[in-house]
Amino acid sequence: MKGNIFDIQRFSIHDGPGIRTTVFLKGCTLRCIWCHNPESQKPEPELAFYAHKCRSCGACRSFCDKLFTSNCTACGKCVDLCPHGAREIMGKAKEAADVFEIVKRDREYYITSGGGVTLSGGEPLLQADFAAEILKLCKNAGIHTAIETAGNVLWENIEKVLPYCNLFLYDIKAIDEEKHKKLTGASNKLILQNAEKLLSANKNVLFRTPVVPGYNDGELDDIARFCRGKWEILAYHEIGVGKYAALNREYLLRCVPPTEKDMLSIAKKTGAIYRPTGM
Amino acid sequence: MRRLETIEPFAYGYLHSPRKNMEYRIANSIYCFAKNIQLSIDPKSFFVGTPWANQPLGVRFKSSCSMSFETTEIKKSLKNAKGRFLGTLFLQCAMFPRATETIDAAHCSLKTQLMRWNKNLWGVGGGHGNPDYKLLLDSGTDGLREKIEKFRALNSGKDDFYDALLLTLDAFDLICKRYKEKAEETLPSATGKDKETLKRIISALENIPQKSPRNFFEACQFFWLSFSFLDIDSPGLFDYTLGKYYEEDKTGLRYECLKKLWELFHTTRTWNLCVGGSNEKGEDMCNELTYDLLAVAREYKFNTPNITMRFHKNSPEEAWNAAIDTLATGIGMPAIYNDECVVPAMEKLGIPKKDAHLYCMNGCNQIDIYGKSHMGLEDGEFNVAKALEYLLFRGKCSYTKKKFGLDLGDPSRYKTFDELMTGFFKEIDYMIKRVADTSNKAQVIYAKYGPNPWRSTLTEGCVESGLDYKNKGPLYGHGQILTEGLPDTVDSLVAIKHYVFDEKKYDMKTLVKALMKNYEGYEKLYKDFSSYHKFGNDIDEVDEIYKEVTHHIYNYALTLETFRGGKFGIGCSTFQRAAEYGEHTGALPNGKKKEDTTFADSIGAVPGCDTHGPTALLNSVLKVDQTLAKSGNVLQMKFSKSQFNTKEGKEGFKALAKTYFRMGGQTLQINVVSREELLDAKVHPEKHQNLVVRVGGFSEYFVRLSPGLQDNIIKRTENGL
Repeated sequence: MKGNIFDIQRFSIHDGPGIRTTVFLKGCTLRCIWCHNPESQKPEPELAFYAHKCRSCGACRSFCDKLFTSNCTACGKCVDLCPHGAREIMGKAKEAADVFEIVKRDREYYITSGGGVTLSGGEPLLQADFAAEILKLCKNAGIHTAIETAGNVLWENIEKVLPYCNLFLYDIKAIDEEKHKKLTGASNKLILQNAEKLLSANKNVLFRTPVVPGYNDGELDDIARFCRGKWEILAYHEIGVGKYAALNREYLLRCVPPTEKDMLSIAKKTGAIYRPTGM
Repeated sequence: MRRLETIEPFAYGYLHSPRKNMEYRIANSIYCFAKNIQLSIDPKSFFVGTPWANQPLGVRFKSSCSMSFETTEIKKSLKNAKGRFLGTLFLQCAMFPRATETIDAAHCSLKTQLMRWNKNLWGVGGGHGNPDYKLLLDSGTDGLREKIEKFRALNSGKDDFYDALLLTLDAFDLICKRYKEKAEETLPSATGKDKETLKRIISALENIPQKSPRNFFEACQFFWLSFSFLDIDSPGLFDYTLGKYYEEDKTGLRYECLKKLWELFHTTRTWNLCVGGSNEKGEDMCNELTYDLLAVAREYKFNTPNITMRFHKNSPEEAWNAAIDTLATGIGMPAIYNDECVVPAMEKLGIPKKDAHLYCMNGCNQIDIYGKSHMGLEDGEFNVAKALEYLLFRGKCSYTKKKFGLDLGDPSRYKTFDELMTGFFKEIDYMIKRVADTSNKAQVIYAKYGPNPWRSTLTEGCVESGLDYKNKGPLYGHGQILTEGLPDTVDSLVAIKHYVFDEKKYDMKTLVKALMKNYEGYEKLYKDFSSYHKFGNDIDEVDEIYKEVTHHIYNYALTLETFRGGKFGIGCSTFQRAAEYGEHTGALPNGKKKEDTTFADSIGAVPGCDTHGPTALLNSVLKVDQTLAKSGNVLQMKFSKSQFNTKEGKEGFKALAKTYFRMGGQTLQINVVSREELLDAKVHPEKHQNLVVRVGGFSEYFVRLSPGLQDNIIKRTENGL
């Protein structure tokens, strides 16, 4: 079965235990204002354009008049035509079996490090059948499996992956519903419900919260109470900002990333797990 | 002539040797030198010994004596000397380092010399060595004298040779004795700490070098005197040699001694020392000295000497952690090697397991058997991409437009890719054979005119057989040839296979024309060829060709024999030469344009082409049987600082390296730097004087590299952001 993905990153060491291959599935129900993977939000493939590489040679225009209009179908012809590599299609449909072929290539590294595969996104559980198929193939091959989810999906979607997923990395961005709506564009009712269900199903869950100073740092105490110790905090960073321009979107957040010191003191105060990234 | 004896004792000893035998001549030079050299003692450097050996003979003696160099006097003497042309030439080389080119000229044809200057190939026959300092320290010079006498009795008619060895040992004893006298002379005027140091030195020299050391200070003093005597090259298995003395030391001075020795190593450009590893029982060989040495390296952050650390399946976590903590400082060391790959590789050469476990590194990445071999050196090198040029341009090198290769006819006539590969391998074989022949000719000359009685005494096989170190004496005499531009050529072949033979999108004629025109007017073709699959991304289609080419090269070389009585093995460690070789190579079908100067670094991917992360790169490299590589088969990886300053990062790297070794990888060499740091260093070198990067086999200060090489290092994919 096919699904839409936008990247496969090998040798990931921050998405679960050990050395992992992280598969990024496309499409998300949330629109977090700090999102560092804007290309993950729309479910369908889209065209990215890197202005700094463009030399205005016109090779793309000669072929297409729909560039960056709503009529662009992301067919990818202009990517081939561009001699300067200024264009890229983000996202493509791939067979679950093909994804597994790539994941399996690093099996030896998983064995040494206690690693495995992590499905991330976007919201991987929007393509629950596709996700379940990848995880099933991996699990049958003895590969540890994890999912990074925001949990804003129907419980039946989660149920599909339950038998094949060893670890849920579960995002909680705010406890206050209004605040959550403001930050992500959606209510957190479903998210919190699903989280409770996962816990009572005795699943291995690690809650995670991005700390975005001035936006959700007031929520941290409530989140800590909700997560009951299985909780990790991550620092907001600006690595994804350049991708907004490439996708012809505006980056609205104005925020100074927290320092390593800030994060350590938050972790100490709230009892959260914090693993320094060394950035 | 009296004057020459004090001005240039080495030359005097050579010219006025009582015996004409070449080994004896050199030994006499050494003795004459030991007698006449002016010694000085600086108590601040903790040990006595003079680093006169890190330049060719003669000059090294001269510089240590701080004597003026009377060239006219020596030239006059040489002219009158009755030695043969090459004999005097060798002496000249010893005196004037630049004259090595003259020696080359004596044995190479003009064509071979042109090929060397234009980065096609070269062959020599000299190089690095790992004398057996353990034997020297453990038995003392008296023990060695006994050994020499024992074998003199067994090999009749070799008196000149054995006397030469004894004379060299006498010269060493004499230097030590003179140092002792000098120290005694200086003692009355010394005060405080200096006085203590001098007393310590005098006391040590009452015992060494005739007897073996009684504590770690004596061991270091002995080691330094002998290491600096004639042979500042590579200390070899350092913790194996000195670990015993370190662990048994009760003076409380051992860590300070180690630090002082480390300073001396650094200031003399000592090459490579090797620690850790396993013995033939599979037991780990790390000792207290191993760990303290790494601690000293972390403290000083020197870019030299090179440290090699050997690992194996029973290596303790402590060893891994010590290595990774040292890498985290950014000095690019230690280079880590895998016993489970190198030992079988050596065994396949016919070296018994027990000796194979004594492998160590010298120079940058050359594998030697500690104290038993003359094989850890570069015997030659060739540019793999030139074989492809010869094939496509009918024997011509694109840089010189001269016919250096074989003309196998019009490349358009190849109907299948396999036929093309057959032609390509003919060119390859021709090149390797030429390197081997050139090297063997040089080896013969060195054997005849450049004996080395000091190394003969300290290398197993020489004393036993009565043959010099350079003349088939050592137990193992294999050779090592290096490759350049192999991954670039593989990518080129892959693109040719795809576009010319499989898809038939372009014909060979068009491709050859495009390459000759440096792709000008062939933009579409350029885009296709340059963007096709590249090596280093775990793509089977590409890696299969990589394997085929590599296996062919490695196996063919092994069919050729060295003059020293071994086989030629292949290694790949391009050092900073990747840029030179790239510069002398024209447009290639992998999308390299004439003006792109960078070749791939050693066996890794072409810079910027490994886009699937480190595991994919390792998987690609692992498709080759690395036990076929008999010299350093270097894989360089660059990680950002964040990889090494977090627990996850360190553990991730450790698992990566362990997996690579478990799957048969030979070595990993790691740079830890941030891209920003490098970019800034290029613009503001003054702010980054201490930034060390590992280039090929050795670490260098980044700001000293050429802009081309700086770019290469910046471009090399930064793994694990």
